[in-house]
Amino acid sequence: MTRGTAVALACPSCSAPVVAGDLFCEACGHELPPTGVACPGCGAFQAVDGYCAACGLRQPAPRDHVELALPGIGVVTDKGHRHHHNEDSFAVAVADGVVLGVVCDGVSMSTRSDEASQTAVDAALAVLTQGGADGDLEAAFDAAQAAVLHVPVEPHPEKGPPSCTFLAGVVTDAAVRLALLGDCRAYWVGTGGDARQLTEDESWAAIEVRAGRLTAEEARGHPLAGTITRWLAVDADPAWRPALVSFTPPGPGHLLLVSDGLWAYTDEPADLVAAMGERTDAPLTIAQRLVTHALAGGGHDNITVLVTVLPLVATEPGSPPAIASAATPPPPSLATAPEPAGDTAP
Amino acid sequence: MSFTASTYQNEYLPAGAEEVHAVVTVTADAATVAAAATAKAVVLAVDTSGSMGHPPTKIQAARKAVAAAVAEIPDGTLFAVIVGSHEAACAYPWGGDALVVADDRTRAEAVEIAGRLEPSGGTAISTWLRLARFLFDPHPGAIKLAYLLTDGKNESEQRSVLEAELRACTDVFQCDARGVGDAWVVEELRLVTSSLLGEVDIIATPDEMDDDFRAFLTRALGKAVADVSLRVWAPQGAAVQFVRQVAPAIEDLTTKGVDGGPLTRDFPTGAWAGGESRDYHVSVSVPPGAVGEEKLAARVALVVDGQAGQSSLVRAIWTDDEALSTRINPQVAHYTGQTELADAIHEGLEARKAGDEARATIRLGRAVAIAHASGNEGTVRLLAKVVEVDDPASGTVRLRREVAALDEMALDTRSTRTVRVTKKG
Repeated sequence: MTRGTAVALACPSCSAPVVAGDLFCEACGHELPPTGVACPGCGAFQAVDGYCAACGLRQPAPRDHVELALPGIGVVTDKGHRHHHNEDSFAVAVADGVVLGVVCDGVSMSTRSDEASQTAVDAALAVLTQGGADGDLEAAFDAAQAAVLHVPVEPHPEKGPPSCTFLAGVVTDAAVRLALLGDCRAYWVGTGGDARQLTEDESWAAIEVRAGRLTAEEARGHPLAGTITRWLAVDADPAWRPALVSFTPPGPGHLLLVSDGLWAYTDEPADLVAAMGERTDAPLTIAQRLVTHALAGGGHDNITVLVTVLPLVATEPGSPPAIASAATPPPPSLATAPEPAGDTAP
Repeated sequence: MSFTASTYQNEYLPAGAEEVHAVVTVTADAATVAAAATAKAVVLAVDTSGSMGHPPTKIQAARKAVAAAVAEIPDGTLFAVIVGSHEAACAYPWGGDALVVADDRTRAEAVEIAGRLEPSGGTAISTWLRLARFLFDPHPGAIKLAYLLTDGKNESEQRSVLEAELRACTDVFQCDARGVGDAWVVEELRLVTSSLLGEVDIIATPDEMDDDFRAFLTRALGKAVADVSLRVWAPQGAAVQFVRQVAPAIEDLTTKGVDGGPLTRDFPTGAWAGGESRDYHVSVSVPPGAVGEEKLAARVALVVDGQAGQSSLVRAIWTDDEALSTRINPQVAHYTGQTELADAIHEGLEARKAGDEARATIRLGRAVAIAHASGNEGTVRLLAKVVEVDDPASGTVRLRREVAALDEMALDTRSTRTVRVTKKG
């Protein structure tokens, strides 16, 4: 799903109004480009390299804002207010009794990091789906790192090679297994509103706080607060391995996988729970609320929120896994599947 | 031939800003060699006016240099030698009206004729260029380069005649120009080379002629592809403020643009050798977008035979984050400085000639400071022959009382040469 802007379309030849999808102008017969997608800035029909061929305006990219609902799952990713591309990405698979989720945050001070995060989530999910509930998180991490190396490196005076962080989860009703490199976070929110962060940020600020050199408050305001210490890239240290976390869900609740574009505005678990709103709502609704909360707070970074409801929604035994990512939405039959509303939520 | 282009810019603009600057570095694939079908044609146009005989070392050096250069022209290359005074004639082929193909016989004949060049008459450079144009004209697809040598002022014709001939020669051939000694006019030869995409330089003493002729030949024969253009697309409502080559030397291309299609101008850059790299500073003014909006301000690519290569994007992103919009791109800053350096030298020398010592001191001092700070050591050395440098960092200088005309002309001639950004460790 892409957030589009309603625009008046005009024939590039005679300026008569035309309808998106028309092949010819009704007024003058001018041939219209087959896509019929008009520039939101000037209404022209042609785009090259993602920019309008007439006024130069960058055309809305599909990944600027993506929303996705699968049974028991809601995901929203948004480019935020300050960044000009969404360099976050996610991939998710729902199979019988297991949810596999990957969230990667492209590093903004590197080139093509949107491609890095996308190829990383795709590669990791491909490995995880082979194992299902036994999905190998370390092998998924290795596949993601290998995939990032295939993103072409553009020489740039200030920016580094394509890079992203990594967070992957294998979720069943009995166990949550996580692998983390960088500063995405996993949270558990129980039915009573008890929330806890399951991962430890691999960032400069978090290290300083853990070492007692900075308070959490000082770290938040620090210019280096967003600096991560580990990432996937051609310049990643081979010794960097993902931190593995196992967690036994104490009962029904929500598992959240989020990028730092969210938690910058919900650093205290209580803030997070408050921003989720009514937790019996559909997971997509909760994800939307959280993203809206981050945008209202300033939206300084790309924001990704993946909400999984536990217990998991039962799917047809033996049915193939439903797979989707920020770049590849699920088939319409899945995307429009009825939301597992209040009956499955805690 | 393939070219790669990279853009260096700060794409972030404050709200309401229109001016976008970028440096685009273009490099030709090092493996590029001329296609077998690409002919190469060179013309040596040598001043044989009467002054070349005073002192006779000049004409003697010219004979030797022409002979040595001609002897090295490879088989198959088209060539001719023009002798120029207030009129022009083909010295080789003698009295001819067409280029000849180099082989053992033609080379030997040309070497023999070079030894018999005799000085007489005045100087009307347009006649030399006109003859070169007629010789080159029947070879539209070839790489066509001329080398023009003079020792004096273009005194036998009106300036307008030269200008008209240069307009006719544009797009027909490229021309390097050399002034030997100190009796020629830098500005006249710069007009020739700026119009014909060549470089101007000084040959201080006749004995340097030989090497310079051969260096030209090496440069000319190294070219692999002819008639390359820099294509600049800018969006509707935008205006290309300037397109300037900034490395290896400053050359303003803005007024040379020709229509290249919708919203597109093509700026001629001449012939390129494999591995050659040049930098261009492009400035575009675009209608400002809202904060958070991103526009493509320009798309820059090299065009050969109407085919555009990989394009480089110049972006504009409007932001209210001052930390982003106030960042200065090192490449853009560097070449803005190198352009100011050339202007400061030019203005300083003009002021010095006009007797305005205060202004000359200020401008040449500024030039010293920029050249020093940017690591342009060649220009620092040339400046130091015209001014006494007390403190290069601050540009504190004193005009020298006695300055050799040759030193002043060398500074003037080479003032547009730039250095590239020094890589920081």
